[in-house]
Amino acid sequence: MKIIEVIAPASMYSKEVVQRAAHRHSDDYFIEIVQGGEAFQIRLTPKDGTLDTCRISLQLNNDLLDEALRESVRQQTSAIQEILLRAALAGASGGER
Amino acid sequence: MSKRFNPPSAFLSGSYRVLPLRFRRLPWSDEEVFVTSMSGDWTVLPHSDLARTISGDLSPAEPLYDELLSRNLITDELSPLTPLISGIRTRKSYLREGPALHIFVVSLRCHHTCSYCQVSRQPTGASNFDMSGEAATLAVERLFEWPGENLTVEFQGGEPLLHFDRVVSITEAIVQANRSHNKRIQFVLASTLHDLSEIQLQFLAEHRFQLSTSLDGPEWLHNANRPRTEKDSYRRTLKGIEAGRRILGEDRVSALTTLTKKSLEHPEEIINEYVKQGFHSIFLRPLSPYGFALRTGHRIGYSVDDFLTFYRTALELIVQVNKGGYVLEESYASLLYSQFLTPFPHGYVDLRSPTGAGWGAIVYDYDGLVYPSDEARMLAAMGDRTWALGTVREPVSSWLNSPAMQSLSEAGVAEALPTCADCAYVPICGADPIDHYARQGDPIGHRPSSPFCAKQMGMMDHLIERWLKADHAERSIFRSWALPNCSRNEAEAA
Amino acid sequence: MTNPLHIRAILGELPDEMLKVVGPSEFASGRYPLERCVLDLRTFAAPLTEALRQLPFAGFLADAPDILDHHHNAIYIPCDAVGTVGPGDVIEVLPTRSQIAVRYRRGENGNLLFTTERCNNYCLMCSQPPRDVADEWRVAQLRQLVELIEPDEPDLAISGGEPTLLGEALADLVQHCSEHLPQTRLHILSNGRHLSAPGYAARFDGIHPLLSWGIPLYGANHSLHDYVVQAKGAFAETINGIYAAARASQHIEIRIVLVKPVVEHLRSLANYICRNLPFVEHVALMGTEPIGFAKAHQPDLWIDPMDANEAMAEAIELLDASGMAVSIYNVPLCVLKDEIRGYARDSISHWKRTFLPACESCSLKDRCAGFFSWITPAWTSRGISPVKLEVM
Repeated sequence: MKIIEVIAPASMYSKEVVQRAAHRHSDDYFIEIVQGGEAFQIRLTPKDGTLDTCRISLQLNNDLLDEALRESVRQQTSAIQEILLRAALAGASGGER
Repeated sequence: MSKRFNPPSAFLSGSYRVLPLRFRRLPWSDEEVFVTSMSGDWTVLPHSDLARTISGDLSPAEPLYDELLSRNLITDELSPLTPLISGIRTRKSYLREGPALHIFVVSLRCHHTCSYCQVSRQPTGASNFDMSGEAATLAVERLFEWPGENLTVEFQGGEPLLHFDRVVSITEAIVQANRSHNKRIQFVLASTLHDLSEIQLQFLAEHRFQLSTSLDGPEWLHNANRPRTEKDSYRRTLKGIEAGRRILGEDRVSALTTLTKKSLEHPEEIINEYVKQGFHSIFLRPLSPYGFALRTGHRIGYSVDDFLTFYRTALELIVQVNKGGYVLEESYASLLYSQFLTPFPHGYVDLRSPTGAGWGAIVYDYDGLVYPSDEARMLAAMGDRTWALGTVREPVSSWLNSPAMQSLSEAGVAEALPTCADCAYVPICGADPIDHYARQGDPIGHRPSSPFCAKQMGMMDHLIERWLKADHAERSIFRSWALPNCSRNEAEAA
Repeated sequence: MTNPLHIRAILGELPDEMLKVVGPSEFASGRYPLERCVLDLRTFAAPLTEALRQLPFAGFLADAPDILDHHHNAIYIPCDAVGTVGPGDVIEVLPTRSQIAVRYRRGENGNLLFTTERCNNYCLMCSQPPRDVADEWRVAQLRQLVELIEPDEPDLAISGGEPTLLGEALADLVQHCSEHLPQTRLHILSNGRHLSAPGYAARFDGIHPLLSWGIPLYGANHSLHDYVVQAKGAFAETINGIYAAARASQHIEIRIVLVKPVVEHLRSLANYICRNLPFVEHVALMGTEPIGFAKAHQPDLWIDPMDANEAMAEAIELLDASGMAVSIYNVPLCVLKDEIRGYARDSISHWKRTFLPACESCSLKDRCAGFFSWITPAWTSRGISPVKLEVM
């Protein structure tokens, strides 16, 4: 069974980003993440031999980029998200029809 | 004294902050992403622009800046946050009311043997599967312990007409009790409408019932999906629809189709049948993996991809029907478009966060046991009572403290679930712990392999794509489906 | 035909107050204290009896100059004076200018209570340029005026400047209207900014059964709105004020003046209203009044309504589908697309409204808003032409 390997530099991606990106493919693949020095190695083993694997490494690179963006959004906004939710859902009596 | 007038550049702000936003790469586009705010407002923009926005490199002088500001995706010192707060509150405003949908299973007896039955039906003579008077009385007492001012009471079965006395007694008990509560209560009968008598119709008319029935398609398809011994389900259903319209009113009868593998091959015939029978609303409901459908799945079942392929075709046919001047809305598309195009919530308990199970709906079973959803009741009928809330002998407060309700709280907020938390569709999607428990063995669920997720995302992706590519006439059609002029408190599905 | 508010007159000694012009039926009704009434002799068929003459009216009005000899408190309106006044109207005498000012015209649209010249915005197209003056004295006069307005007056606007700058006094004035004019629709024209102050909007909750607010909004975000109203921070305060008003159960109309930068972004504004302010009951799309600051900014503001048709139709479609009532004000019917003509209203107060020569043969003239009487070619659409309806 062909194993696909994607390298994610630790200088660009945190462990959480790597895990989240890889998790998106845990339906079609078994995932293994090895952390070695300056990079993470993501190893994907197709669960089904008939799976079309030609685009997976491109897809995973996109996902790494996107999870890094999401991490940035979380860092910038988790405090305000809490505040907004509290304001929206606490004692919402009457108000906007 | 006169003040100087300042040019537009004097009114730009200096810097901005990103607000909590979620995004999804659009499957049909290499470049573009779909981005949502916390309240479900959205826009589509190139991925590179989104990346620039998140890294703080957007300029206040760009048109994109204004667009993102007006959709509460970014904010600055001159922008109010009240619209976002109000939007979140509005989207979740159904929470204030407690469960609005109350389903009374008056009997499991049925004259059909549908291959996809999710009821665990019983033969027509098996009156030991009827709801007793005692259970009914207690259930009505429990009903009025809930706080909501607007309730939908839906009678289901089996076939509720086979134990119509119970429908009558419960309705009358509710009307009587409501004299001191003054709630707005809408009664619904989910029934085959077979052999409706004039007396039954008069009763239903008197209490302004809505009738909800199954019409799977043209006669040969309907009868194939929904066999009864006399082999004439279709004929009797049409007779019931006609009688219901005549006595209760044209707009009081709605129908849905349950799609089997055979159904998927005939979208045009199904749609034509609905037009032929004068319906202006069609709900193309896919199979659930519950009840008898679990056993017959290999024969009548299909993958999510197969359903989505069918749906795309069917939607095009429906759009053409509308363009030809006949109003026909597809119920699930209406629901989803109402979420994309308006700030309002909908009344459909199966797509909510917090989950509609328990929070939005309660099922009072024939034997006095109480469940947060139909699916929970079905699992119990198959031997798994994990999701029972209690019995009608106990007060509602004990149901709210039950382990089942606890599990629903823990696994029922999509915004807190793995993968859902980051999904651009989460402001308008839902959590379904019981579905994930039934299919994956775990109420929290694993989204990448979840058919529930695949179906929702597939539908939403398609409807977004369809909207973006729609011409003016098509957008008018979709918009007319979406707008909050009809009450979605009527249970459109159970 | 314009009907000016100030009419040339020769005046005797009359009180410096709001005065009600009365004819036979108003007098007979006994509704208004005589000390506040000016008897309109033109409406009496026969000469007055001595008994009537002795009554303590505030004044007597006639179009014959000999009235000045018969009464010390006379108002003589020469026949060639421009403007009409009659029973039911409320006037104020302006002796230093030899004029009477008509503060209320019975049977006319467009009656308003003018609260202040002050304003906290400075709109590019302001038709009533603000002045920073201490004019609190107006409130007392307005309270008098309210007491003399016909109780069956259907509509009254409360405007300025910015009425909420009156603070508490505005709520008191509305309260006063609910005592004297409970059946009159009151419409406060306000930028809504002060409604965001804590507790202020709540002051208006339930104090008049027919109260509504007309609040301008010019953009879906602060940069466009603040530019049009020339006040940084206005958008945020206005939006917050609108929410506060909604929480206080107020009826809200959004007003949008169709100046060029606003029209260019009208679609996103309509979208913003539907998405964020769904409780709004009415949206008014308004042609610009070519007076005041507007004139100086004509090149930046003027867009031919014909060229705004697409944007208007799109916005109307969105708002309409969302269940909001929409009206088009101050735009003549001939320049509007057929499908949106139905939204246009006869909106210009008749005393400041005129028609053009081209309108003489127009079939739609009596439904049309017409033009502001100070219209100039620079503010006139190139598409003005009489509409000929086909006789079926």
